[in-house]
Parts: sequence; structure tokens; C-alpha cells
Amino acid sequence: MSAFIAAFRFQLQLIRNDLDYLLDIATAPVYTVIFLSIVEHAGRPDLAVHAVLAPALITLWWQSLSTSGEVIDSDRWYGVLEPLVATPASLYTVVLGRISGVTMLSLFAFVESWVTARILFGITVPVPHPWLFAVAIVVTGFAMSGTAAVMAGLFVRTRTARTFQNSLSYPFFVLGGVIVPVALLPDWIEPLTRVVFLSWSADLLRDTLTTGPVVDPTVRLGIIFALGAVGALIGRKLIDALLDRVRALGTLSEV
Amino acid sequence: MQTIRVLRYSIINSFQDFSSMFTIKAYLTGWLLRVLAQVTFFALIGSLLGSEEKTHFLIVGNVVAVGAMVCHSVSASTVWERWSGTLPLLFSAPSRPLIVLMGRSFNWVPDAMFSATGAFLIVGTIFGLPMPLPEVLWVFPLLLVTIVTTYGVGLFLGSISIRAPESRNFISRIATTVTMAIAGVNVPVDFFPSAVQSAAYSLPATHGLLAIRAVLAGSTPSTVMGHLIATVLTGAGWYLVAIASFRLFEATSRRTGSLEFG
Amino acid sequence: MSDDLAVQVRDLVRVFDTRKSFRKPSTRISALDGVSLELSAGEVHGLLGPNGAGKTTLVKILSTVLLPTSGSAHVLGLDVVSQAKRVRPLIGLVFGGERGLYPRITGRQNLRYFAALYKMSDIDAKKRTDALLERLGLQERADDRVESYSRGMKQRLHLARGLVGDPKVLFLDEPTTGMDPLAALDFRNLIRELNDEGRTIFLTTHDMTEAESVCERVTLIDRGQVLATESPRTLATWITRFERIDVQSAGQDVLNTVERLPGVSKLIRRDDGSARIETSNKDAMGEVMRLLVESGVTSISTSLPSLEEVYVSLVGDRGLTL
Repeated sequence: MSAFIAAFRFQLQLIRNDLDYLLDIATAPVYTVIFLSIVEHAGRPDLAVHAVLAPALITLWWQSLSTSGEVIDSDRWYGVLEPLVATPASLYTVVLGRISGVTMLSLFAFVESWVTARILFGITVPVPHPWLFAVAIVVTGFAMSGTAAVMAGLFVRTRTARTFQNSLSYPFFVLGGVIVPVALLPDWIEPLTRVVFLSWSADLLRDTLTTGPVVDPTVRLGIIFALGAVGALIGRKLIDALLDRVRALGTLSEV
Repeated sequence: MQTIRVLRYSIINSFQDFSSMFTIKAYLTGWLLRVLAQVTFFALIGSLLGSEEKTHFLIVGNVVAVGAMVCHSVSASTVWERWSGTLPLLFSAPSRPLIVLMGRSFNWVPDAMFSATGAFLIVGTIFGLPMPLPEVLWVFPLLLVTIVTTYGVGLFLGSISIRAPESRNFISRIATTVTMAIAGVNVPVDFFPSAVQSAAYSLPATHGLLAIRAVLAGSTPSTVMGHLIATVLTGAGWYLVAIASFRLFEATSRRTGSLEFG
Repeated sequence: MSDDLAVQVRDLVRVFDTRKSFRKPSTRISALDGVSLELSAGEVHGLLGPNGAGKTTLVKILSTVLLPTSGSAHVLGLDVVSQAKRVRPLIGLVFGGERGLYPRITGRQNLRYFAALYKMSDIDAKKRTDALLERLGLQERADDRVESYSRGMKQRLHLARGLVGDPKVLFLDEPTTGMDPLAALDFRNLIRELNDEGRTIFLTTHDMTEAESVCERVTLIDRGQVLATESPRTLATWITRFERIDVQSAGQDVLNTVERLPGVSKLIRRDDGSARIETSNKDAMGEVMRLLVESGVTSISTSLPSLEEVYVSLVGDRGLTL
């Protein structure tokens, strides 16, 4: 437990000292402008919910993605991975702790989005189901960390990891129904969209921002949580396997 | 002639670097997939709005945005040059280092062209974007001009990030997102207050996009020409600013000795 | 395994498959080729060898960071492969060089992080960190970014990090590389202090002086194989076994006579008129000395071979220093 907390706090320290980590969080307001301007120009204030939610989800996903890919890689670059492995702490716990720190910070994008809408567009997006909204955000954050753990385990394996990091942004924004609900996508895509938590979160969050009852909130929260947990487990397997393989092959300190 | 030779070699250098970063497969599955998804993402918003016209507007705009995005990568590649430790050597060599730096990042231009063209053709086809012949043929040279002029913006960004290497990604990202916001990519420029419009019109991408939209809409050649000239002029302006900025950097770093070896 | 042994290595082999590119076949490199050695508890043991000898590989295996290909290694009675988790809380790992620390945060933050990874409570971590910073003379710069530290400071921070878990066994891999002589001297004093506290210390180096000054025993290693394990002095005497005598301006007659004495194994004449006399037994030494003094030679000095000379004669002159 203490290793998780230590890593969590440590990541926040790293970020404080190196603001480049917060690239996506810093650009969240600009995305809000982009989406809100589209919606406003089209005379569709009813879509403001979509426009304000999208930048928050995009930032959460993108920020977690790029940082989770960095965690093991940058430790390797700094030559810290070996001393880390030599400590009693489990590498997976440390990685998860650091990812969770980033995810938590990324949730700030929700605030940025709402504030930008208010200040620049004079739009206040009401929250008819505030508790459910808050819980949905927290569960989404958890799922994001779990999913990011998978990516942390994958990114180290491939040398061209960075090039693949590119393909994990917009394709997922489309499949995640981040602004355009997946219901509007062709039927054959639907199974793909449901495998990752993003579309579930997007739909649920949009529903909490719409008046009228939210359908099956517990089930949907459960699914988001479960997908996150599955991600965390897969991530664990990947990272443990990675560590084993690397201890066996001796490529731990390779830059 | 010396300049041309230096430029040529640095361009070759940049392509070699590029090919060591990407294999064809990685480029197609990593980068191109992302580009297509990016334009598709915005195109779908048109579906959400229930407007085919909007969909087409968004596609064309985001195709150009993709081109601009790649050009802004000069911010990063300029810093790589600094990190390779060759800057002090460059600066002490007889030819102007700026020529080398200009050539160094040149691989982004065909990359931008390929990405934007691919997105235009593929996503455009999927969403039924009207591509009337012969007008659509003009899109490609206009796209090239837009990209080459935006490369000047990229060079300027490189001159900033070379002074603050850690911010290189932030700089390119901000430039790209701001372009996407105000340059007429997703909404017409006049949606924004006049101060923002002025900023938008300072970007060559804004004018290039207007030219491309005009040609697709069947506007008169003089209209298109007007936008094209504006593109070239604003682009030239950015090249000049970039050159000045790099010269200043060169002079300052010679004075303060802030360039490092390796 | 005997309770007194802190480290026990038996027939350790470590092979690397290096694949340079997809087209070329992989080459197998034998970094360790059947290494055996033992460290008693509380010993300061040196591993001496040129670059590529396998020193770092051995340290990585002992610190559980790397798996051996075959053979066994135990630290404090625990198998480094099957019981790695139990080994880790008991050891500390110190690498030399610029890498191995987070550059953009402070020394204190680096230490606190690792302290937490050793499962220390916040209070203990703070106490330990402060104590280590003080002990290693980093207090003043503790809250500056590591990237602003000098090489020597980084090295001390490495050592602090290695000590943060209060290890019983400390592994140091070329810890004084790149240090200036004064800093290196301080470092060695520190090693002695740590040893006085009862810690077992395993130190790799290619610096002869360092091995001689700090280590109780030294293992010579080259190309993955152990050449010898002895105290530095023993190793030195191993080759020529006894002292040699250097003389200045002794006449040729005297030298010729000395050369013919029984027990004189070698006489090297130099251009400047000086000469070195090597003997193969102690008695001969006394004889040579007497003869020289009687002949009126006054400029006489004796010495034992240095570790370097021992090494060179064992391994051949392969250019030990970087």
C-alpha cells in the first residue's frame, strides 16, 4: 500500500517540477472552444452538453495515455529502473500509483471545460444529477487508470511505441463516442466500442447532464468499473511478464 | 550555390532520420490511422448536427488542420537538432545554420502533404464529399502551398522551442489547437470577435483553407487567386520572422555561450 | 550455507543473446563463465577487472535485477532467483555515473521516494533521509534539483539511496568513476565507516588504488572468469613473492655479481644506470642487500609489486584504465 501512495505522491512531485507533463490538461480549454464554437455556430445549444464533456474526456484519455506510456520508459531512460527493481516494492504497484496520480490530475479537465464554457461563451451547463455525475467521474477515473496500466505494459515492449501512441488518440475518441454517441455510428462498429470503458462513460455522463431519469445507472457504473478492473489485471500480467522477460534477457537498462 | 548544396544535404539528412523513426507499417498503422481518425472524428460531428453541408465543411477544414499540425512538428525536430549536439559545430561552420535547420525539418512537408491528401481522399470519399472535376485537382497544389507556407510558421515555432527545449511539445500542440479553433477549420473565421479574427488572418493556413474551400465551391479564379496570394504573403512573413528569430538566437548564444556540445 | 557467509556464488554463468538487427544472426556473449566466490559477513570485498570483464553483470545478478543463465547465488542465505523478494529489503544497490537518479526533482525528493519504496513510514523516511543527507554532506543542496549536482554529489546521493533501506549488504558498481581524487578519498573513508557499522560491502572497480586501499580481499576477474581471490597484499606477493630491490648507479661489476647469486630471478638494467633486482626467496634478498651495501651502493630501495603489476602479469597488458 505504501508503495502505491509513495508512487502517487511522487508522480505529483514530478509533474510539479516538469510542467510538460500537463500538456493535454493545458490545452483542454482550447478544445472546449473548438467544440462549443461548432455547436453554437450551428445554433444547437442542446448539444452544449456534448461539447463540454468531450474535451474533458479527450484530455483524461490523452493525458493518461501519454504519461502512462512514459512511466516505465522514462525510468529506463534515467537509469532508475534497475535501482527500482532492486527495492522491495513491486514495479506494478509503483506504475499504477504513478498512473493514478496523473489520472486524478487529468480529471481537472472537467473543471476547465465548464469554466471555459462559462467565461468565453457565457454557457453554464447544468448538472441535473450531481451525485451520479460525481460518482460517474470517479469511476471513470478508476477505469482510466486501469486501462492506462495496459498501455504502460504494452508501450515498453515495442520500440516503435511512440508511433503507436499516435493511433491511440483519435481512433479511440471516435470509438469512444466522446462527442458523437456511438449509437450514431454504423452497427458493425458497436462491438468494438463497447470493449473500452470510454463509450460507456461518455454515454452515462451525458445522461447525468440531461434532465429526466438515467437508465440503469448502477449496471452501467458496474460495467465501467469492471472494464477498468479488467484493464488493471491485464496491465499487471503484462508488466509482471515484462519484468520477468527483461530480467531473463538482461535488456532492462537498454536505452 | 553553397546554400543550395547545404540545403540539399540537410534535407537528405532529415529524410534519413525520418525513415529511421518510422517503418512503412508503423507509419500507416500508427500515424495515418490517427490522421484518418482525426478527420473522421470531426466529420462525424456533422452527422451529429444532422447536416451534410456541415460534415463537408468540417472535413475540408480538418484536412488542412492535419497538414498544419504536421508542419508544427518543426518545433520538436528543431530541438532534436539541438540535442544532437551539433549546433555549436553548425554555428561555427561557414554556411548559415538556419539553412541547415530549415532543411533539417523538411521531411515534415511531404509528410504533411501525404497525410492531408490521404485524409482528403479517403475520408472525403467515405462521407461523400463532392469532388467535382476539374476543380478538385486544384485542391492539391493549393494544399501544397498551404503546407509550405505553414512550414514557415513551424520554423518560427522551432526558433522559440530551440530556446526552451522542454516546451517543444507544448508549443506545437498549442499552435495546432489554436489553429483548429480560429483558422476557419471548424467554424468560419467571422464567428469569433474581431481581435481573434485578426490573429486568424495572420496564419497562412487560414487563407489556404479559404482558397481550397473557394475552389471546391466553384468560385471565380480571381477569388481563389486572392486567397492564394494572401497565403503566400502571410507565409513569407512567417519565414522572415523565423529567419530573424533564428539569427537573434544565433547571435545571443554566441555571446552568452549557451550552446552545448552533445 | 554457512551463517558467516554474506554472499555465496557457485559456478555462475550468464550468457546474453545480442541481436543487432533482424537480418544478422544473434551472437552469444558470455558475460560470466562459471564464477564462484564467497564473501564473509562484514567483509569489504573488491571485484577488479577491465571493462567488459563481467563485474556489472555479477552485481546485477546479486542484487536480483538480472537472472543468471545457470549456477547459483545466495545473499545472506537467500537464493537471489527464487527468493528475490526476501533478498531485496536486505540489500542496497549503488551504481556509478550520471544516470540512476531523477534529474528534475531534488535530492531529498529522490531519497524520500526510495525510502517509501523500502516500506518505511513517513516519519521514519523523513528521519532516515535527513540523517543520510547530513552524513553524506548533501544537506545544503538537498533541496536543489539533482540535475544541478556535480558528479561527486550525484555519487554521494547514489550512496545515500543505496543506504536508505539500511542494508546489510551493499553492492557498489564502480562508484568512484569520474570522481576527482579528493572526492574519491572521502568516498573510501565512507566505505570504511559503513563497514565498521557491520555492513558487508561488495565493490567493483577498475581502479587498483581503490581496491588496495579499501578492500580486505580482492577478486580478479577477466572475460567472465575469476582469476584469483586474495587479499591485495597476497595477490601482490603472489607473483614475485618477495620484495624487489631498485638500485641507482651501481657499477656493472656489482650488478653482474648480484645476477649470479642464487635466488636472484631477474635483473633488469635500465639505460639511466639504475637496475631492478627480483628475487625468488627471502634469503636471497638478504644476500643481495649485503652485497650491495658492501660494494658501496647507497641508493637502494625495496618495494612490493603493486596490484596493477600483478594484474598485468596475470591478464596481459589490456589497458585497464578507461
